[in-house]
Amino acid sequence: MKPGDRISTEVLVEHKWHRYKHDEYVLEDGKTGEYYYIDQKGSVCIVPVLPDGRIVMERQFRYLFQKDSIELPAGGVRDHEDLDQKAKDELEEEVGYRAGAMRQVAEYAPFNALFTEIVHLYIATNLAATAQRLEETERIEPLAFTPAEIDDMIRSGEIWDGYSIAAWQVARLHLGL
Amino acid sequence: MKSWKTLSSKKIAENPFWSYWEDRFETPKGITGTWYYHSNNNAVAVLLQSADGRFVLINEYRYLFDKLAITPVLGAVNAGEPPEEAARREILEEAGYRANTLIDIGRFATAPAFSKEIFNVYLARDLVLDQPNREETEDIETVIMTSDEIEEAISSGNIWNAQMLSVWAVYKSYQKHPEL
Repeated sequence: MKPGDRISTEVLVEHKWHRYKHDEYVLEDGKTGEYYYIDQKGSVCIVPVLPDGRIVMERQFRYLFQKDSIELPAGGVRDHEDLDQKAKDELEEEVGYRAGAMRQVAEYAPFNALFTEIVHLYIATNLAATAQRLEETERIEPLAFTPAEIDDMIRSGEIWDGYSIAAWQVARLHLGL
Repeated sequence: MKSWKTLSSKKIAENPFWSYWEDRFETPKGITGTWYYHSNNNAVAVLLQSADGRFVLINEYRYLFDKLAITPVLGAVNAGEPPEEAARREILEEAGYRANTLIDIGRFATAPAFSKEIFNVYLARDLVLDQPNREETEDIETVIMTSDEIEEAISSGNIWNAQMLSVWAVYKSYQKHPEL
Protein backbone atom coordinates (compact mmCIF):
# COMPACT_ATOMS: atom_id res chain seq x y z
CA MET A 1 0.00 0.00 0.00
CA LYS A 2 1.17 3.54 -0.68
CA PRO A 3 0.75 6.73 1.39
CA GLY A 4 -2.84 7.98 1.33
CA ASP A 5 -4.30 4.49 0.70
CA ARG A 6 -7.30 3.55 2.81
CA ILE A 7 -6.82 0.62 5.18
CA SER A 8 -10.33 0.56 6.63
CA THR A 9 -13.51 2.62 6.76
CA GLU A 10 -16.47 2.51 9.14
CA VAL A 11 -19.70 4.49 9.47
CA LEU A 12 -20.05 5.63 13.08
CA VAL A 13 -23.28 7.65 12.79
CA GLU A 14 -25.73 7.80 9.90
CA HIS A 15 -28.84 9.90 9.38
CA LYS A 16 -30.63 11.56 6.48
CA TRP A 17 -28.25 14.52 6.21
CA HIS A 18 -24.84 12.85 6.23
CA ARG A 19 -22.63 10.07 7.61
CA TYR A 20 -19.95 10.45 10.30
CA LYS A 21 -17.09 8.13 9.36
CA HIS A 22 -13.73 6.90 10.57
CA ASP A 23 -10.97 5.72 8.22
CA GLU A 24 -7.53 4.32 8.82
CA TYR A 25 -5.01 5.15 6.10
CA VAL A 26 -1.32 4.88 5.26
CA LEU A 27 0.84 7.83 6.31
CA GLU A 28 3.92 9.07 4.44
CA ASP A 29 6.21 7.10 6.79
CA GLY A 30 4.15 3.89 6.46
CA LYS A 31 2.45 4.22 9.85
CA THR A 32 -1.33 4.13 10.22
CA GLY A 33 -3.20 7.45 10.36
CA GLU A 34 -6.70 8.07 11.70
CA TYR A 35 -9.26 10.22 9.90
CA TYR A 36 -12.69 11.26 11.16
CA TYR A 37 -14.97 13.04 8.68
CA ILE A 38 -18.44 13.73 7.36
CA ASP A 39 -19.50 12.05 4.15
CA GLN A 40 -22.21 13.69 2.06
CA LYS A 41 -23.05 14.03 -1.59
CA GLY A 42 -22.59 17.75 -2.03
CA SER A 43 -24.43 20.99 -2.50
CA VAL A 44 -25.43 23.57 -5.08
CA CYS A 45 -24.77 27.28 -4.67
CA ILE A 46 -26.24 29.89 -6.97
CA VAL A 47 -25.00 33.40 -7.77
CA PRO A 48 -28.08 35.14 -9.21
CA VAL A 49 -27.20 38.25 -11.25
CA LEU A 50 -29.93 40.87 -11.77
CA PRO A 51 -30.07 42.92 -15.03
CA ASP A 52 -28.59 45.93 -13.17
CA GLY A 53 -25.61 43.83 -12.04
CA ARG A 54 -26.68 43.42 -8.43
CA ILE A 55 -26.36 39.99 -6.84
CA VAL A 56 -29.32 38.37 -5.10
CA MET A 57 -28.48 37.18 -1.60
CA GLU A 58 -30.54 36.19 1.42
CA ARG A 59 -30.63 36.90 5.11
CA GLN A 60 -31.30 33.94 7.35
CA PHE A 61 -30.83 32.96 10.97
CA ARG A 62 -27.91 30.63 11.74
CA TYR A 63 -28.75 28.45 14.70
CA LEU A 64 -25.17 27.48 15.59
CA PHE A 65 -24.15 31.13 15.91
CA GLN A 66 -27.52 32.48 17.11
CA LYS A 67 -27.40 35.35 14.64
CA ASP A 68 -28.36 36.40 11.13
CA SER A 69 -26.17 35.66 8.18
CA ILE A 70 -26.21 37.13 4.66
CA GLU A 71 -25.60 34.32 2.19
CA LEU A 72 -25.98 33.16 -1.38
CA PRO A 73 -28.82 30.75 -2.13
CA ALA A 74 -27.62 27.17 -1.65
CA GLY A 75 -28.77 23.74 -0.63
CA GLY A 76 -27.62 20.22 0.05
CA VAL A 77 -28.08 17.58 -2.64
CA ARG A 78 -29.50 14.15 -1.80
CA ASP A 79 -28.28 11.04 -3.60
CA HIS A 80 -31.18 10.84 -6.06
CA GLU A 81 -31.32 14.54 -6.93
CA ASP A 82 -30.22 16.14 -10.20
CA LEU A 83 -27.79 19.04 -9.73
CA ASP A 84 -29.15 21.41 -12.39
CA GLN A 85 -32.72 20.87 -11.22
CA LYS A 86 -31.67 21.31 -7.58
CA ALA A 87 -29.99 24.62 -8.38
CA LYS A 88 -33.15 25.87 -10.14
CA ASP A 89 -35.32 24.73 -7.24
CA GLU A 90 -33.15 26.37 -4.58
CA LEU A 91 -33.09 29.66 -6.49
CA GLU A 92 -36.86 29.76 -6.69
CA GLU A 93 -37.62 28.33 -3.24
CA GLU A 94 -35.17 30.47 -1.27
CA VAL A 95 -35.21 33.84 -3.02
CA GLY A 96 -38.13 33.65 -5.48
CA TYR A 97 -36.50 33.85 -8.89
CA ARG A 98 -36.54 31.77 -12.03
CA ALA A 99 -33.45 32.00 -14.25
CA GLY A 100 -33.63 32.27 -18.04
CA ALA A 101 -30.02 31.09 -18.14
CA MET A 102 -28.09 29.09 -15.61
CA ARG A 103 -24.59 27.68 -16.01
CA GLN A 104 -22.36 25.69 -13.71
CA VAL A 105 -19.02 27.49 -13.50
CA ALA A 106 -17.03 25.61 -10.86
CA GLU A 107 -16.76 22.75 -8.43
CA TYR A 108 -14.74 22.96 -5.23
CA ALA A 109 -14.61 21.63 -1.69
CA PRO A 110 -16.21 23.85 0.98
CA PHE A 111 -14.43 22.13 3.91
CA ASN A 112 -11.85 19.75 2.51
CA ALA A 113 -10.36 18.60 5.80
CA LEU A 114 -13.64 17.38 7.18
CA PHE A 115 -16.37 17.00 4.57
CA THR A 116 -16.39 15.01 1.35
CA GLU A 117 -18.88 17.60 0.07
CA ILE A 118 -18.37 19.27 -3.31
CA VAL A 119 -20.03 22.61 -4.09
CA HIS A 120 -21.44 22.91 -7.59
CA LEU A 121 -21.45 26.64 -8.27
CA TYR A 122 -23.93 28.17 -10.72
CA ILE A 123 -24.31 31.64 -12.18
CA ALA A 124 -27.95 32.49 -12.89
CA THR A 125 -28.99 35.31 -15.24
CA ASN A 126 -32.13 36.55 -17.05
CA LEU A 127 -33.95 36.43 -13.75
CA ALA A 128 -37.74 36.61 -13.49
CA ALA A 129 -39.32 37.18 -10.09
CA THR A 130 -41.74 34.48 -8.91
CA ALA A 131 -42.36 33.62 -5.24
CA GLN A 132 -40.41 31.98 -2.45
CA ARG A 133 -41.42 28.49 -1.27
CA LEU A 134 -39.89 28.07 2.16
CA GLU A 135 -39.64 25.01 4.34
CA GLU A 136 -41.24 25.03 7.78
CA THR A 137 -38.08 26.05 9.67
CA GLU A 138 -36.86 28.55 7.07
CA ARG A 139 -37.24 32.32 7.38
CA ILE A 140 -35.37 33.84 4.50
CA GLU A 141 -35.32 37.47 3.42
CA PRO A 142 -34.14 38.06 -0.18
CA LEU A 143 -31.75 40.99 -0.63
CA ALA A 144 -29.70 42.42 -3.50
CA PHE A 145 -26.27 44.03 -3.38
CA THR A 146 -23.80 45.48 -5.85
CA PRO A 147 -20.46 43.65 -6.11
CA ALA A 148 -18.79 46.60 -4.33
CA GLU A 149 -21.29 46.36 -1.47
CA ILE A 150 -20.57 42.64 -1.11
CA ASP A 151 -16.83 43.34 -0.86
CA ASP A 152 -17.48 46.03 1.76
CA MET A 153 -19.67 43.67 3.78
CA ILE A 154 -16.95 41.00 3.72
CA ARG A 155 -14.52 43.64 4.94
CA SER A 156 -16.85 44.79 7.73
CA GLY A 157 -17.73 41.25 8.80
CA GLU A 158 -21.43 41.71 7.98
CA ILE A 159 -21.01 38.83 5.54
CA TRP A 160 -19.31 36.12 7.61
CA ASP A 161 -20.43 32.89 5.95
CA GLY A 162 -17.28 31.30 4.53
CA TYR A 163 -19.33 29.13 2.17
CA SER A 164 -20.80 32.23 0.47
CA ILE A 165 -17.54 34.20 0.60
CA ALA A 166 -15.74 31.38 -1.22
CA ALA A 167 -18.52 31.17 -3.80
CA TRP A 168 -18.42 34.91 -4.35
CA GLN A 169 -14.66 34.79 -4.95
CA VAL A 170 -15.02 32.15 -7.66
CA ALA A 171 -18.08 33.75 -9.27
CA ARG A 172 -16.50 37.20 -9.33
CA LEU A 173 -13.66 35.95 -11.51
CA HIS A 174 -16.08 34.13 -13.84
CA LEU A 175 -18.14 37.32 -14.11
CA GLY A 176 -15.01 39.32 -14.90
CA LEU A 177 -15.35 41.43 -11.74
CA MET B 1 -35.02 37.93 14.13
CA LYS B 2 -35.70 36.00 17.30
CA SER B 3 -33.29 33.32 18.43
CA TRP B 4 -34.03 29.63 18.34
CA LYS B 5 -34.20 27.83 21.65
CA THR B 6 -31.88 24.89 22.36
CA LEU B 7 -33.95 22.15 23.99
CA SER B 8 -31.05 19.75 24.46
CA SER B 9 -27.45 19.50 23.37
CA LYS B 10 -25.40 16.34 23.45
CA LYS B 11 -22.00 15.23 22.21
CA ILE B 12 -22.67 12.04 20.26
CA ALA B 13 -19.07 11.35 19.26
CA GLU B 14 -15.61 12.63 19.94
CA ASN B 15 -12.30 11.93 18.21
CA PRO B 16 -8.81 13.33 18.82
CA PHE B 17 -9.50 16.25 16.47
CA TRP B 18 -13.08 17.38 16.90
CA SER B 19 -16.46 16.51 18.39
CA TYR B 20 -19.82 15.75 16.80
CA TRP B 21 -22.98 17.14 18.39
CA GLU B 22 -26.73 16.70 18.21
CA ASP B 23 -29.01 19.51 19.38
CA ARG B 24 -32.78 19.55 19.63
CA PHE B 25 -34.05 23.05 18.83
CA GLU B 26 -37.30 25.02 18.76
CA THR B 27 -37.88 27.94 16.39
CA PRO B 28 -39.79 31.09 17.45
CA LYS B 29 -42.83 29.60 15.66
CA GLY B 30 -42.64 26.54 17.90
CA ILE B 31 -41.27 24.12 15.31
CA THR B 32 -38.81 21.61 16.74
CA GLY B 33 -36.04 19.76 14.98
CA THR B 34 -32.60 18.20 15.24
CA TRP B 35 -29.35 19.86 14.25
CA TYR B 36 -26.13 17.87 13.76
CA TYR B 37 -22.84 19.74 13.77
CA HIS B 38 -19.09 19.78 14.14
CA SER B 39 -17.29 21.57 16.92
CA ASN B 40 -13.58 22.15 17.46
CA ASN B 41 -11.29 24.92 18.56
CA ASN B 42 -11.36 28.01 16.40
CA ALA B 43 -8.83 28.37 13.65
CA VAL B 44 -6.46 30.82 12.04
CA ALA B 45 -5.64 31.36 8.39
CA VAL B 46 -2.56 33.34 7.45
CA LEU B 47 -1.75 34.72 4.03
CA LEU B 48 2.01 35.23 3.79
CA GLN B 49 3.20 37.99 1.48
CA SER B 50 6.88 38.37 0.68
CA ALA B 51 8.66 41.68 0.05
CA ASP B 52 8.24 41.34 -3.76
CA GLY B 53 4.44 41.13 -3.36
CA ARG B 54 4.16 37.40 -4.07
CA PHE B 55 2.37 35.02 -1.72
CA VAL B 56 3.84 32.04 0.10
CA LEU B 57 1.25 29.27 0.09
CA ILE B 58 1.15 25.68 1.23
CA ASN B 59 0.66 22.69 -1.04
CA GLU B 60 -0.88 20.15 1.27
CA TYR B 61 -2.14 16.60 0.68
CA ARG B 62 -5.86 16.26 1.49
CA TYR B 63 -6.77 12.70 2.35
CA LEU B 64 -10.51 12.94 1.63
CA PHE B 65 -9.89 14.03 -1.95
CA ASP B 66 -6.58 12.20 -2.44
CA LYS B 67 -4.87 15.21 -3.96
CA LEU B 68 -2.87 18.31 -3.14
CA ALA B 69 -4.55 21.58 -2.22
CA ILE B 70 -3.03 25.06 -2.39
CA THR B 71 -3.90 26.80 0.86
CA PRO B 72 -2.86 29.67 3.06
CA VAL B 73 -1.30 28.61 6.35
CA LEU B 74 -4.18 27.08 8.33
CA GLY B 75 -4.23 25.83 11.87
CA ALA B 76 -6.20 25.40 15.06
CA VAL B 77 -6.05 27.82 17.96
CA ASN B 78 -5.09 25.92 21.11
CA ALA B 79 -7.24 26.32 24.23
CA GLY B 80 -6.40 29.62 25.89
CA GLU B 81 -4.08 30.70 23.08
CA PRO B 82 -4.60 34.19 21.60
CA PRO B 83 -5.36 33.83 17.84
CA GLU B 84 -2.44 36.06 16.91
CA GLU B 85 -0.07 33.77 18.78
CA ALA B 86 -1.58 30.76 17.01
CA ALA B 87 -1.01 32.51 13.69
CA ARG B 88 2.68 33.09 14.49
CA ARG B 89 3.10 29.49 15.67
CA GLU B 90 1.43 28.05 12.57
CA ILE B 91 3.43 30.08 10.06
CA LEU B 92 6.61 28.86 11.69
CA GLU B 93 5.42 25.23 11.87
CA GLU B 94 3.86 25.01 8.43
CA ALA B 95 5.83 27.40 6.26
CA GLY B 96 9.01 27.94 8.24
CA TYR B 97 8.74 31.72 8.51
CA ARG B 98 8.61 34.35 11.19
CA ALA B 99 6.60 37.50 10.40
CA ASN B 100 7.56 40.92 11.70
CA THR B 101 4.17 42.31 10.62
CA LEU B 102 0.90 40.49 11.26
CA ILE B 103 -2.33 42.27 10.26
CA ASP B 104 -5.80 41.09 11.33
CA ILE B 105 -7.81 41.36 8.06
CA GLY B 106 -11.09 39.67 8.96
CA ARG B 107 -12.92 36.51 9.92
CA PHE B 108 -15.44 34.01 8.64
CA ALA B 109 -17.22 30.84 9.71
CA THR B 110 -16.18 27.92 7.51
CA ALA B 111 -19.64 26.36 7.16
CA PRO B 112 -22.23 28.02 9.44
CA ALA B 113 -24.83 25.32 8.82
CA PHE B 114 -22.63 22.43 9.97
CA SER B 115 -19.74 23.75 12.02
CA LYS B 116 -19.04 26.20 14.80
CA GLU B 117 -15.54 26.79 13.45
CA ILE B 118 -14.46 30.41 12.97
CA PHE B 119 -11.35 31.42 11.08
CA ASN B 120 -9.45 34.55 12.07
CA VAL B 121 -7.63 35.75 8.96
CA TYR B 122 -4.22 37.42 9.05
CA LEU B 123 -1.89 38.93 6.48
CA ALA B 124 1.77 38.33 7.38
CA ARG B 125 4.47 40.59 5.94
CA ASP B 126 8.15 41.31 6.61
CA LEU B 127 8.90 37.60 6.57
CA VAL B 128 12.09 36.02 7.84
CA LEU B 129 12.85 32.42 6.85
CA ASP B 130 13.38 30.10 9.81
CA GLN B 131 13.64 26.31 10.15
CA PRO B 132 10.32 24.56 9.67
CA ASN B 133 9.15 22.51 12.61
CA ARG B 134 6.35 20.43 11.13
CA GLU B 135 3.90 17.95 12.52
CA GLU B 136 4.32 14.25 11.76
CA THR B 137 1.18 13.70 9.69
CA GLU B 138 1.50 16.90 7.71
CA ASP B 139 3.00 16.38 4.30
CA ILE B 140 3.66 19.96 3.33
CA GLU B 141 5.55 21.95 0.75
CA THR B 142 5.42 25.68 0.08
CA VAL B 143 4.62 27.33 -3.26
CA ILE B 144 5.11 30.98 -4.20
CA MET B 145 2.51 32.63 -6.42
CA THR B 146 1.70 36.10 -7.71
CA SER B 147 -1.76 37.61 -7.27
CA ASP B 148 -2.50 36.96 -10.98
CA GLU B 149 -1.38 33.35 -10.70
CA ILE B 150 -3.67 32.83 -7.70
CA GLU B 151 -6.66 34.25 -9.58
CA GLU B 152 -5.88 32.12 -12.65
CA ALA B 153 -5.70 29.06 -10.41
CA ILE B 154 -9.09 29.95 -8.91
CA SER B 155 -10.65 30.38 -12.38
CA SER B 156 -9.18 27.12 -13.67
CA GLY B 157 -10.15 25.13 -10.60
CA ASN B 158 -6.55 24.38 -9.54
CA ILE B 159 -7.39 26.15 -6.31
CA TRP B 160 -10.32 24.06 -5.16
CA ASN B 161 -10.58 24.46 -1.38
CA ALA B 162 -12.94 27.01 0.06
CA GLN B 163 -10.66 28.23 2.84
CA MET B 164 -8.20 29.51 0.24
CA LEU B 165 -11.06 31.08 -1.73
CA SER B 166 -12.52 32.76 1.36
CA VAL B 167 -9.15 34.00 2.57
CA TRP B 168 -8.46 35.43 -0.88
CA ALA B 169 -11.83 37.23 -0.88
CA VAL B 170 -11.10 38.62 2.59
CA TYR B 171 -7.67 39.78 1.39
CA LYS B 172 -9.17 41.45 -1.72
CA SER B 173 -11.73 43.28 0.42
CA TYR B 174 -8.94 44.35 2.80
CA GLN B 175 -6.86 45.56 -0.15
CA LYS B 176 -9.73 47.84 -1.29
CA HIS B 177 -10.12 49.40 2.15
CA PRO B 178 -7.02 48.75 4.29
CA GLU B 179 -7.87 51.85 6.36
CA LEU B 180 -11.05 50.33 7.83
